[in-house]
Formats: sequence, C-alpha cells, structure tokens
Amino acid sequence: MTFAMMFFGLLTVVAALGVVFAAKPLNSALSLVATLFLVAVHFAMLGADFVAALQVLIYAGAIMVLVIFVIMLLGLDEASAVSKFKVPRYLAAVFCGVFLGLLVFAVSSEGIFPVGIMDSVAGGASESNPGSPREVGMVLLTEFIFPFQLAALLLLAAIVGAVLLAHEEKRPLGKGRGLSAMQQKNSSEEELREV
Amino acid sequence: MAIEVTEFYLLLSAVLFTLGALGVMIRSNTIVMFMCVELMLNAVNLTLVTFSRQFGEVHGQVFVFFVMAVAAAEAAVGLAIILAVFRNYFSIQTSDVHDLAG
Repeated sequence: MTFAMMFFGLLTVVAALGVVFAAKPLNSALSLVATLFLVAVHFAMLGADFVAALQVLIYAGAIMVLVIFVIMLLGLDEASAVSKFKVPRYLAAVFCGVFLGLLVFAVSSEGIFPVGIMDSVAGGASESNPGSPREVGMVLLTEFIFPFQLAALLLLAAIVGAVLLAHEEKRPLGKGRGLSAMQQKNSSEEELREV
Repeated sequence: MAIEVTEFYLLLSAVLFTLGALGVMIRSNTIVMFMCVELMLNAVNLTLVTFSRQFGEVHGQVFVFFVMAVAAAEAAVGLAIILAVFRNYFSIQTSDVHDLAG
C-alpha cells in the first residue's frame, strides 16, 4: 500500500461523506462526481485502465450529467437533510455500524474468511497487465459475447422505458399543457374525492 | 505487498458501501437516495477490480462492465420515474408520496 493509495482513499471517503450528508441535493451530486473520479483513480492504480476510462466516461460523464440535469430541471435544490420518516437515524447508524464491523471482520487477516488465504490460491498479483483495453476487449467479445448482446438489449429496453415513463401526453392547445394541465387534473380529482 | 493492497481496497469499498447504505436509510430525497445507490454500486465495482488484480484475471473487470451497463439503464429508468413522480406530486420527498399508506 503506497502513500498515494492512502491519500486518495481518504479523499474518497471524505467525498462519499459529502454525498450522504450534504444538505442540498446539488452539493450531493457534485460530491458524487468527485467520488466517481477518485474511484476511477483507484481503478487506474489497480491496473484496470479500461475500467478507469469507462468509469470517467459513463459514470462521471453520462450518468451524473443526467442526474444534475434532473435536479436543475425540477428546481429541487432546497435543503432537506433531516427526514421525519422511515428508519430512525440512530437505528440506521447502529445497523450500519454493525454491518461495517462485520465487513471489516470478514476481510481482516483474523476474520472468518481471511484474505491471506487467497495468496496460496492465486499466488498474488501477476506481473502482466490484465486491465488493458485489448485484454478486456478480447474476453468481452469472445467469451462474453452473449451477455454483451444482452446488455445492448437491456439498454435499448431502458431507453424505451424511460421515454414511456417521462413522456408527457400532448393535449390540444386550448386545454393547457404540461404541469398546469396536471394541476387541473389533480384539483378536479380532489374535488371528486371531496364529493 | 499484494495482500496489503487487496486488504486496503476491500476495507475502502466496505466503507463506501456502508456509507451508501446509510444514505439510502437516512435521506428522504429520492434523488439523493438514488445517488447513494450509485455509491454502493461503485463500492462493489472497486471490490471486483481489486479481486481481478489479486487473481491476475480479467473476468472481474468484464463483470464491472456489465454492472456499469445495468447502472446506466437504472439511471435512465430511475430518473424517468422520479420525473413522473414529481409531475404527479410536485415533490420527490418520500414522505410526500404515501398514497398506499392508507
């Protein structure tokens, strides 16, 4: 474990704390962008060049742009950190503490499934670089070609589903459109309920 | 050395995953909950890449690719659902969407 790993690891945890505890959703989103970039740094340090590039392109690029776009589109950037709802905070903290303790116990050398055992299984990290785009692409397009095609199908289905869900029905111009039409609909439903 | 690195990254991803789970439990804004799910997915990806390096095999990274594809699909559909909820309730707080609570 080098100094750089320690340094970026701490930064990652700080950024992740920002995602969870930032008061405004937009600050959360920007912290998440930082976290994703830092995870890409970790991927690069682990020798997974291809995955690091994908992380920056797909996560930090495409997905987070979509999230920030929705936050700004809906104008939802008011602070709402504390919730009055579901799991009580102390219960959530206790659960997460126990969960983290179990995970740390599991991966530590004294744990039930010590990582040290794996040294005898695999003989440690290999010297060659299995993370180059060439290596990953070879396996992806030969051994995993069928799941690869399925992923393409899944993405197509997701696009169609997203359009169906987010698509707003067009109404004739006279009757109002968009949110105002929805408001009218809601208020008429409420009237019906009162009747 | 290799073991130390592996153990360090397993601990790091454990911390990231727990933070994501904590966020899903304590936040009531659906977009923030969604982002915490992304955080958990990333923690798992980090574990997969760590083991891929540990065993000197590429299959873990191929799996990360599929996780990313599913995450992209989830982002598209999830954000569309959030948009639809906002259109009907004018809020995305979980406490405001309680029609099924009776």
